[in-house]
Amino acid sequence: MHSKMSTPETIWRALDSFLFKVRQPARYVGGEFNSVEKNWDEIPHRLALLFPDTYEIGMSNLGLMILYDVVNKQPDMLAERAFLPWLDMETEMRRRGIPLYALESFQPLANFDVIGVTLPYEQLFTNVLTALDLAGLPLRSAQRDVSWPLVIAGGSAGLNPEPMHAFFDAFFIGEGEEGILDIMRVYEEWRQQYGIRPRVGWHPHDVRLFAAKDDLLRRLARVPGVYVPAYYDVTYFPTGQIERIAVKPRYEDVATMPVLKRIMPTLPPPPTHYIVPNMKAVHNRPSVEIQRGCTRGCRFCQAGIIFRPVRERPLDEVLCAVDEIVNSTGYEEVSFLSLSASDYSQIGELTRQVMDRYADRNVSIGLPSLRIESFSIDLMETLAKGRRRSGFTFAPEAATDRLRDVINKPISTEALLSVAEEVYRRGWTTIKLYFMIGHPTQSMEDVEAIADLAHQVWHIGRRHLGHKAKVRISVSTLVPKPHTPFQWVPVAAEEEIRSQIEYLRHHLRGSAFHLNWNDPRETLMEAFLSRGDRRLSDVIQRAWELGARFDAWRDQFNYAAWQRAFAENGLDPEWYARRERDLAEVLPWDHIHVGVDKSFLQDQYRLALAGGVVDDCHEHCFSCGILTHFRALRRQVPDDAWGCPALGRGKKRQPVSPASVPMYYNPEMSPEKAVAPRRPQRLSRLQAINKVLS
Amino acid sequence: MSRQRLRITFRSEGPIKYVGHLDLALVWERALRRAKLPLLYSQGFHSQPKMQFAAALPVGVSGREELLDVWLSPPQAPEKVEELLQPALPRGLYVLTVQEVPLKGPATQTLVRSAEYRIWVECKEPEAQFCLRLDELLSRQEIILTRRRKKQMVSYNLRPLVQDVRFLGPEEGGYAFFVRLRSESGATGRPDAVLEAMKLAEAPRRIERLRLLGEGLIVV
Repeated sequence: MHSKMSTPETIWRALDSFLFKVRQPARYVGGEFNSVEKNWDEIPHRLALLFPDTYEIGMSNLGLMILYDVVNKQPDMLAERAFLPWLDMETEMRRRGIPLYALESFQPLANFDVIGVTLPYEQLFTNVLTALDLAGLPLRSAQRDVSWPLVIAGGSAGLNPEPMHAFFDAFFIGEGEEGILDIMRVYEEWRQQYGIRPRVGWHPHDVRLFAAKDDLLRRLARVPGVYVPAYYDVTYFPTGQIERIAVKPRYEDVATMPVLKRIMPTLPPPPTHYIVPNMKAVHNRPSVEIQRGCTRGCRFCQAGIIFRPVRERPLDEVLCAVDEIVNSTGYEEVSFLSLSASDYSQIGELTRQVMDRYADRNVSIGLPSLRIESFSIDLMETLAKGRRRSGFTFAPEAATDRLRDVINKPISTEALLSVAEEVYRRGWTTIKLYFMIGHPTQSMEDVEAIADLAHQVWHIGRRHLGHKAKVRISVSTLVPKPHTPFQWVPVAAEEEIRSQIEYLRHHLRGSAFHLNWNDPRETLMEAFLSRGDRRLSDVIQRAWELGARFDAWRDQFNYAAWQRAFAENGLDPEWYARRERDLAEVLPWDHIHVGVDKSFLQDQYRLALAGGVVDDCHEHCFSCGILTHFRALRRQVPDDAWGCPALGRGKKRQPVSPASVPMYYNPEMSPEKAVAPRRPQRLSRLQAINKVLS
Repeated sequence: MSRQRLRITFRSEGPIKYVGHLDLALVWERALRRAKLPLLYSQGFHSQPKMQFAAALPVGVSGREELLDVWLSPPQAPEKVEELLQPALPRGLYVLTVQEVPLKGPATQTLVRSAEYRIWVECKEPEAQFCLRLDELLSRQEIILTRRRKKQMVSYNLRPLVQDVRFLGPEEGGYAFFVRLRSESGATGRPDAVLEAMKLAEAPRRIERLRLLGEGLIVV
């Protein structure tokens, strides 16, 4: 059965004869409440949203749900979902010649106009190849003429598009709520011009098929936020570093350098008619995005940079959304999504009102990403209706005051312990602590401090709860991500990581502790996939040919395939992951602009090495670049709609500095610069809030 | 407050038959919530709505007349429940009837005695040969099969669980037949076990449960 000849009927008949044999067959049949099944023949513009991981993971992805909602609200468009089948299903599909199909119509993916791939993390790269292959598409953009769907990607892992540049026709950089509609419209205009659906009736290998595709890509390259990799040239120095990234001369009229990300001036209405899966998804509840972006400026955090500026959803809009979601889905839990829920300006009011409305309707509210402060415990207690849930999670990320100053997450150990005291005193039995190892300037002392801190926390717990008190410690290794102040930092050496994890394992034994860590090799893979350049495309394809699949799944991770793929291409994974990059070096993602200037990131990196801590940008603006690049949008929205300063004379706003100004330097790191280490302003502000509330 | 127990008879067909039993319970729970029916919740930490299925449908088996009991408080008119519930159900689940049953009556699970199935299985061999396989189900003294129970393989005799078998005729490259299996706690015959006994476990098949039998299940 060739993919272009399969029909929904033949696919369903084939599925219905063997699905009872595969694991969790509900993943492969759709039919969920609130899924949108439009009449295929009546809708001219068809988008397949492909999430290259299993159904239960993809169905937990908010980005996918947003785009599904936005596109299906257009009367002349349809969006359907496709996920990657698990290995047993893939085998069955290949054996029977069943192509990858969409869950709403059972149409083969090859029959759609556009395939939009969500790339939230790099470990999905090989899965993209599996999906394209199962859909019957040639893997590389250059091999696909217009008889194939346009294949585009978006999502945070697409912000360094280069490792996957060969496989996608285009990337969308930034927030896609409007961009996806622009792309669909451009596709339509282009098709109108050709007067026919080009894929019907043209002879294969007709040169016009490729000429027509070039015309399509030209039109797309003009859409703000769209990056067409084929229109750029990358040259390298003999040492391997990039010499130059430039637009190819014949495309200078359409392609920009750099490609600036697209943002929404205010948060668009949230999806409320969530698809209700017929089986358990990983994150088995709908969420309302209460805030996009984060003002904290933690230096390892990619989300904190790429989702700038901060935009809050107004309180009444959040409450309405919760209402609609509960009514339209029947879910028993809704969760509030943001990078730092504690920073939502009306968080106290929100939780109070939500509990007033839903406490007796058997709806519970999840509030992840809370800061380490006793106010968080108040919030959680309000939400838990006074019942004790088992766990409380904090992410100090580093165990010493000094190192937390380096990463710009300046909470003191003293404050952390007093919050732990409060948690156990109020009867919660488990505290979960997230740490990272491999931060710049980290020494063995900082690693030992992780074990010490865990012990200190446990001692507090034991005082209140005896042996019921538990501490769970999760340790990951820093992977310096593109577009962060740490993007120049090397990943720690493998032996170093291993010996540090070994130390922690040795010192966190016993039933009171539970330690989780990442395999250093998985860290290495994440690092070369997120920090790689265009040459990685060949490596990824080769690793996939050699059997790399589901790299995010520990039991499937195939290190040997990656090693061989690198060797065959004459490249070294270590060079990509563990080489300290020069501040002057051209980085593979330099032509992708997320609105934050490279000079700001460089400033922050220099400050990190000197132990300089900067304030929350709600308190003090350091001109990261967002206001320069999105000035016009800022003027369109109300003053309080963004976390960034309002523009215009006489406006009330936080102080603005042209460059990063530290609040203080850590005296251990910069003795000569050490201003008397004062407490970060943000803590004192929060303490004030706590006083008012208690 | 006064309570009410309703027995919902429903049909399950199409892709939703691939939803496992526990997941299907959750699908129903959410549908009942969407319909805004006043479900009676259990007390305790994990508050659950009170609902009982008469018998779990095996994965991949559709059901023509399945039974689900739900408890409501305050009581509602059964017709109204039916009207609210249907639009709240995902495709493939259809309410056939809603009837009030005695609050304190026994659980439907304990009332079920047997279940009738219609099975289609792909089979290229001649009709006579296929019928021979069918006949064997009833003529053999014992049919020993093994199944996994808590990580252990245990063997059991399928023969006493097979109460009736009837050949229905040829159909799309295979044959359809009817089978009635005992279905009591600790003695439940599975339709896939019947195919296994016929040495057709790997063949494509479609199974439909026609009805559940037992005194007091259906209120007239």
